Amino acid sequence: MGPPGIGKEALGYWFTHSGLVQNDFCLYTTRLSTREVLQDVKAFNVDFSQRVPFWFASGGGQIKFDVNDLAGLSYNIKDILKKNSDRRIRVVTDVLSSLLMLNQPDAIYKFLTQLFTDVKQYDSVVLATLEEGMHPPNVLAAMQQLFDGVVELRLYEEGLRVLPLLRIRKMRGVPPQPGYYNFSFSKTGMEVKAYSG
Amino acid sequence: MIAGLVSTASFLLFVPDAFISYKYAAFLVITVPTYSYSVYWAFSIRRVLAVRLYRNQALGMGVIVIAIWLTLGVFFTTQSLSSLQLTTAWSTLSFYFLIVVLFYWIDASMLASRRSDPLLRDTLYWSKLRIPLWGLNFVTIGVVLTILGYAEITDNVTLLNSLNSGDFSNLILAVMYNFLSVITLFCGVIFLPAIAIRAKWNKTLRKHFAWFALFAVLLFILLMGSLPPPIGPALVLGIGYTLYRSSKSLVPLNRISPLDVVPKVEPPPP
Repeated sequence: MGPPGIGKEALGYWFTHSGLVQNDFCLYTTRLSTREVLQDVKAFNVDFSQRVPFWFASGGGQIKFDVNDLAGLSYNIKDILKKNSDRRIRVVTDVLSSLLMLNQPDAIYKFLTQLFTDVKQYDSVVLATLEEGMHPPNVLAAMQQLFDGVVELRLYEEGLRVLPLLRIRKMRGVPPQPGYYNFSFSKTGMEVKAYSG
Repeated sequence: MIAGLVSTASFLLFVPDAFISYKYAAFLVITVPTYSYSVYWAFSIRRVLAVRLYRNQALGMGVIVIAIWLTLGVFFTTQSLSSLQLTTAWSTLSFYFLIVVLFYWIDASMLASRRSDPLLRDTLYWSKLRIPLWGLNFVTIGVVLTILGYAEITDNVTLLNSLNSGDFSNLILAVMYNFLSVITLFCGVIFLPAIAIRAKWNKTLRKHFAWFALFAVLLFILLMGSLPPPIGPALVLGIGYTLYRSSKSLVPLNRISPLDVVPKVEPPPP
């Protein structure tokens, strides 16, 4: 989670890219069109020209994504996972904030709980991005509770400097890790270093 | 502040008398710290953002501050100049620079707001409208710069006066000259409030626009009338402050909690 423009999507692009390199099945669910995502991807030097994810997008993908159709979203994801159950699966999505803004948060909470129960039957990982500053704190807390891991990307003011820092708010199976990490995007991926003030 | 330095250097070269004016010195003392601080924040935020659309918005904001500073500086200093050629060249170029930059920022803000909209709504068909508008803007700039060049080279007093006042006897030239400023004003008044109303969940964008709107109001008051000494400089400072707040509210900025900072581990001595 983080504010718009900080690079949450880039994390998703690199996660998808590394999955494709390892021959995992990668599903990219997006509210954007594939053309817009591919434009963005180029800016981060991620190469989707050789290996491409399975697109579930608002335009140009194998399946058309409709932000108002929760049932369709759930059905399609489960169906795709079922068809690729013999492979490791990565699901990347940027639709969570849109879903939360267009529906009652408790409806989305129930929807995600059910979806995650189904997804966990497979060898799969879901990475979802969440816009900060667009949802009430109770909604953010509920989402944090629902996911196994939460990575927070934020901009911090330190004197006259603006620093993009990362924090691990929660990671299942790993002891709590207080502290901040510097992060940046290079040609080979996301670089993370401990921040020590 | 490169534009400001270039401006100052060329004034120093061509019109050294302008620097004797207390107005210019006062303008520099009052504005340089505030305006450069605003530019600094806009560019610092631009540097750390990862997505091009939002970087463009921050870039536009930073360049707007430079353009405002340049335009106000030219406005104050050219009042004491006797050369019509120099006055016209500086005022036309700085004014057009400001208008183009404002249009660029409006465009970047519209595209960024669409990206953060949950339904990706294209407010008032901006993504389609922006292309012909940019085209028309380039044509207008080309025409105005050609007229300016011609008037400067031939020292055509009538044309120079028309460029200064924006009042042309030829209707086509009058329309061309004012097109860019009218379109930018129209887009600023119609499109920006529309996305501010629509993006009710995006508090950061609304705060950025609110400070920018306050800046626009102060600028309007400043340009409307001749204000007495304490009010005029105070307004110039107020404009700098609102631009600074607008720059800083491009993104939500947090404070680092000292309790969560991992202490630096020094390697043991060999």
